[in-house]
Amino acid sequence: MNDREKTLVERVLNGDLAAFEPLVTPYRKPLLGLACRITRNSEDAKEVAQETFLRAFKYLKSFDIEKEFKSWIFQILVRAARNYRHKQSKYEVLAMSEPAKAMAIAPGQDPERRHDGDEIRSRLSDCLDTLTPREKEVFLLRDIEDMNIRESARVLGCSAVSVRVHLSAARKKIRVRIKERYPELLEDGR
Amino acid sequence: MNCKKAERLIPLAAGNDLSGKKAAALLIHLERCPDCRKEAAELEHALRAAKALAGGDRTGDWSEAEWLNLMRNVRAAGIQKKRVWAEIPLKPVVVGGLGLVLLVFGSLLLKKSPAPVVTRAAFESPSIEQAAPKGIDGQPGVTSRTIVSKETGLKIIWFYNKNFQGDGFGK
Repeated sequence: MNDREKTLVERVLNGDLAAFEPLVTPYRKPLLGLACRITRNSEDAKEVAQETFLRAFKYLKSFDIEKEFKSWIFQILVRAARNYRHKQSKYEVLAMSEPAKAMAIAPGQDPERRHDGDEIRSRLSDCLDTLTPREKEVFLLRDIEDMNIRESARVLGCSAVSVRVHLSAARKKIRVRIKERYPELLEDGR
Repeated sequence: MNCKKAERLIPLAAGNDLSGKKAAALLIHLERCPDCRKEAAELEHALRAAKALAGGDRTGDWSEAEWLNLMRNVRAAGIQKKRVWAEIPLKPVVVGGLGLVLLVFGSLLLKKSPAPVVTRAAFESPSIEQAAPKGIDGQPGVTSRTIVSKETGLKIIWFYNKNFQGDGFGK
């Protein structure tokens, strides 16, 4: 953990509640982004991210200051998302029937860009749908959030070997899905 | 390295997640095996494409007002928690509560219902006329005598034989 974060954590723990905002602001977008990709809905994602910040604030005193704050807060998010998914699992059919267009798009964005965004989102969603929940978490952390294997393992509370196994399976499945449905993406990459 | 082992390592190699030794061994195999080389290339392209999709996917953000409101809620939750817990000294409350519970249990255990004090006055003793109604010859025809406790309802009946020797039992 860097010195800035360490100082801010200490300030919050000493009662300066205003120091919490600068502590979490750098993770505002990455956390919401990951929540969006896990929940596939911006409103749910905001709820999960909000729960993450509340829990982070509540349990900050139990945070080991020698460890990475980023891993810790992402760990909270992943757990919050799992709990949310578990709670929502019985409404899965209803949720699926709703268009995933509810995901947030910056206001004032022109319709063409919005359409492109929807297309990209639906393709990514389609690829991620082939993965199991654990494979999805591993893939998102390692390949989309650019965390290394050890960090991902810490966030997910599992071993590095387990991360490698799930990551390997996830990448294979993504490759198969892209090859089957979006071969032009492979062509573009060459 | 054979193709089976290479197949297991290719997905990890695509994201640079292999250690130097394994990566070098895989590279040697890929140089010799066109099928594995093709698969490795496809995996790399697929991974790059997925990353590009994620990069182009704007997942949104809170508006400034939303963000400020969220931070205010977080702080308010913290203050609320502090108010409730910080101002109540937890240790004395817990110790006091436990003491109170022990006191109540102790008093319940020690509390005994007072043993009934049996006194002679507690028994209803019928008069000798009631107890010994007159016989046909005008002599007292005592055959039994009943004593009933006013408190417990215990009834003691004494039976007498001709020699006026009693033999009692309770009901």
